[in-house]
Order: sequence, then structure tokens, then C-alpha cells
Amino acid sequence: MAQVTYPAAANPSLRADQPHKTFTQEEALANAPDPSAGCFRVPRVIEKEE
Amino acid sequence: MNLTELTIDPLRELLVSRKASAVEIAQAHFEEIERRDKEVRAYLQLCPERALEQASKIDRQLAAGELVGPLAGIPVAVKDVILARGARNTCASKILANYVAPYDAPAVERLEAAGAVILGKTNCDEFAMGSSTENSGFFPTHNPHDLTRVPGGSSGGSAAAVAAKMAVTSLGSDTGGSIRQPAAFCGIVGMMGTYGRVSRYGLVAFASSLDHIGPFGRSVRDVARMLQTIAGREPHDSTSADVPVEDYVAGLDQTVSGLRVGVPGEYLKGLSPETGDNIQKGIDLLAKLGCVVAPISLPHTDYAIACYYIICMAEASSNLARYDGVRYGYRSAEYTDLQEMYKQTRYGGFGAEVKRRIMLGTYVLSSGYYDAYYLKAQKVRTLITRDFLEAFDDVDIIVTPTSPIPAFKLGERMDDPLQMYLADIYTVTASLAGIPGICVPCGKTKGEPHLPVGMQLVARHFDEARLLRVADAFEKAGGFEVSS
Repeated sequence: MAQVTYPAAANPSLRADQPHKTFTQEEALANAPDPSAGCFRVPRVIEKEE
Repeated sequence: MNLTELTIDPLRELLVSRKASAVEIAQAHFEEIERRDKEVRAYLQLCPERALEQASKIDRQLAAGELVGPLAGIPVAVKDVILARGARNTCASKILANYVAPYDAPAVERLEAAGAVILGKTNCDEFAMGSSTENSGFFPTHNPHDLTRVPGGSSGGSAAAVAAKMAVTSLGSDTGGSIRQPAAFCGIVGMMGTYGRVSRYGLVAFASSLDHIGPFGRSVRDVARMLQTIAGREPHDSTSADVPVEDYVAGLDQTVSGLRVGVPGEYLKGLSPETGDNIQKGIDLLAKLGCVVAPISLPHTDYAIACYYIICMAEASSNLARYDGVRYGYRSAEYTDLQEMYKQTRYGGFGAEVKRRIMLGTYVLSSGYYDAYYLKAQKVRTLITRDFLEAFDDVDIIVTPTSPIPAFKLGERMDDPLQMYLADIYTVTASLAGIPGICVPCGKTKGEPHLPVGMQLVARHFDEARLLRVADAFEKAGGFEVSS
């Protein structure tokens, strides 16, 4: 049976652990249906104890 | 001279000799879209500003005597599941109707860096789930060869745009045949590279172990140029392969004489007679070109459709969990608490086929059924892959039909999902095995209306160069026009 082999780097799935450009907060919120105060707003999750 | 009739090389010649400008080429395509797309409906959105800005840049570079990229001024359409920054990326779903892509997929970025002009985003089945483009959340696309028929799917808009000369080439995505099957229905060339050949970053995930980005074109050479540009390791997708990209175009003119071509008996059952006739003519032509044709067997083919749909639905149910109305996309207005918000958003945002796949995918992954369905399907996937690898001990290329039937009528299969799934019967196997496949036109059906028939060629992992070489030899020998 033909082997599935090809030349590859020692561990191609790992990259150097270096900071790189990511989204700004504004960009991350740009598509949100209900952004508020720099966050994604959702209905209340934790009930108040009576 | 009609600029929309041409393929990449003649367009480049006109451009470099300054007989046509990139802006003129782009405008000619927008005019053709204006003229034809009212009927075909291939595009969901046009990007004229971006296109003309890029075309003007190419013209300025040419005027200054600068070198331009290999795809300079070539108008390209992009399926609406592949991100192009600043353009809406809807995945043909209401749930993403207003989603604006925050970045370019590397495939798009590489095309633009090579000089390509992005015309717009094309229609598809919602989240690429379908085989006819009728599952689009907005409208169906029509086959340019017969407007009463489907263009295939899920990349039906990208295929129809190229077939109707509303783009020179386009990008589609293929999970189980979504490039190859619409290429067959629309009479053009469509290719899926080896899994990992093209980065999936910026391709909205449907079934991550099966998703590919790949090109459409009206010639094998155009498809080779496109794949050449978008292929190669890209660090944002850890599954993109660190395998050198061969010069696909340079390899096209070599002989195919002596190559061993296998024809699996399992793929010739259940074909419509006309499709079968055309495929046989295509195989005969390969033999005339000096290929050594031999029958082979891929014994687990019968299990492929069940195996594919279990795996892709399982992966889809997980991938589509992200559409919850919180970070992006549609949010229902009808809710009182968080649970209700999720439910109403997904209930109102997704179409019927997407819901069907999420529910079935959740079912096959659920406790008690996981072993019986998902785990079993993964084992069958290994057997199907092994079938191919064993076959490639004896042959270099495998030839099959792309689809058992030519383009069917709009609406004809919408009430029977299983019939729709069976349209993928010959394409899902290569997807499961992760091997590359190309669909080339193989004549038209004899009876009226004369509909395109597609022939599929598949090869070993990362053997795209040989696949393209055989496809190109087939095209040059008149294979696209074989008569049944």
C-alpha cells in the first residue's frame, strides 16, 4: 500500500510563541448584535438571591 | 473583442501589451453581471469599489513599467463562506446576513497579492450544506446552461459565475463535492486539492476535517494558476501542510503516455445511461493519449455516503454552536432570558437543512449513540482511505463520473433529502480520504436539453501536478467536447 509520506518540518503545527496582531476591542465588537460598555451584552445569567 | 470570453493567459497578453486595461476588463465583467445575473443569480454581493481600486493599481503598475503578479487584472468571484475584509460574509444564511468580514482569508489575500481583482461574493447553499444552491437563505442560483435547472452545490454561485462568463475564475469550498459537482453541472473545471493544500483560515467552518478551498475555471490551465497561487503552508491553519508547492503550470505540457489509469467498477453502477456513455468516451480518449486503463475495485464505496454524512453532520453540529446571537450575527428580539435568546436566535436564524444537520450531528455524537454512529463512521473512513491507497499501488490516477446524473430541475429534489445527498455519491470518497480531485467537462448529454457531464480524476495525496497534467492533456485532446 502506498504510504502517505511527504517532507515536512519537524513539528509543523507549532509556531513560535510570539505576540502578533489581533483584533482591537472595537473590531471584536463590530459585529455584535448588542455591544455595551465594551462588552457583549446578554440577558442576566445569575439570579439575585432573595 | 469580448473581454469576458477569455481565459487568464490571453487576458494577460492583452494587459501586458496594453491593448486592454485592468479597469476595462473589470468593467466588462460588471457589465456582463448586470446583463446576465438577473436570471442566473450567482452573486450575493458585488464589490465594485474594491475591484476598481485593485484594477487601477494594476494599470498604474503597468504604466510605470513595473512587474505585475501572475493573476494581474484577472476578475475572480469568491464564495460567500470565504472572508473578504470589509465585505458582508453571509454564508447564504440569515443568521449572518449583516456580518462584515474583519479580515481576508489567506486564499483571498494571496489572490489579490498576485494581482487578481475580486468582483464579489457568490451564492451557495446555507453554510455550504447542500448540493443544488437551493438551500441558500436568500434565493436559488440558476444553471446558465438551462435556467430551469440547478447549478449544483454548494458552490453553485461560484460555478455559475464562471460558466456564465461573469468571472474568469472563482473560489469555492468543497467538503463532500461542493466544488466538483457544481463544476460538472455547469460544464467547467473545478478542483479540490489535498486536505491541507490550501489554508482553511477565513473559510467559515462547516466540517473541519473535510473542508477545502479550491478554484473554478474554464480551462485546466486557469485552475492550475489559481491553485498555484493559493496553495502552501499558512501558519493560521495548523492543518495546512508544509509541503512544497510544485510548479503546476510548468508541468502541464508533459506527456501522459504510460500513466496508469484505474476505473473503479463500483462507480459505474447506477449512472444515467447518457452520463455513462460520456464517461466511457472520456476513458477511451485517455487510452488514446497513451494512458494504460485498467479496472480497479474500491470495495467500501457503498458505505461512503452514510459515513460522510455522519461525520460532516457531527462536525457541523459542533462548529455551528458558535452562532448564539452574542458575538456576531442575528439575534432574535423574542426572548426573556439567555436560554430563550439562544433558542429563538437559532430557530429563526438557521434554515431547515442546517437545522436538520445540527440535530442529526448532535444525535450521532450523543452518549449511547456515539459508538454506533460516529466512531463506526470514523473506522469506515479509514477503510475508504485504505481502498484508495491500495489502488494507488497499481494506478496513478483514478477516473470516475463526478455525478450520477446531470443538472436536475430546480425544486425536483428539495422534498427528499436522501435523494439530494446521493448527488454526492462519487465525490464524498475523495473528501473522506483527503486526496485531491478535479472535475473536467466531458461532453454534453445527447437528448434535449444538452446538459454538461463532468468526469472526475483523483490522485494520491499531494499529487496535484499529475492530476492537472492529465486533465490538461484531456482538455487539449478535445475531451471537454466528447459526444455521447
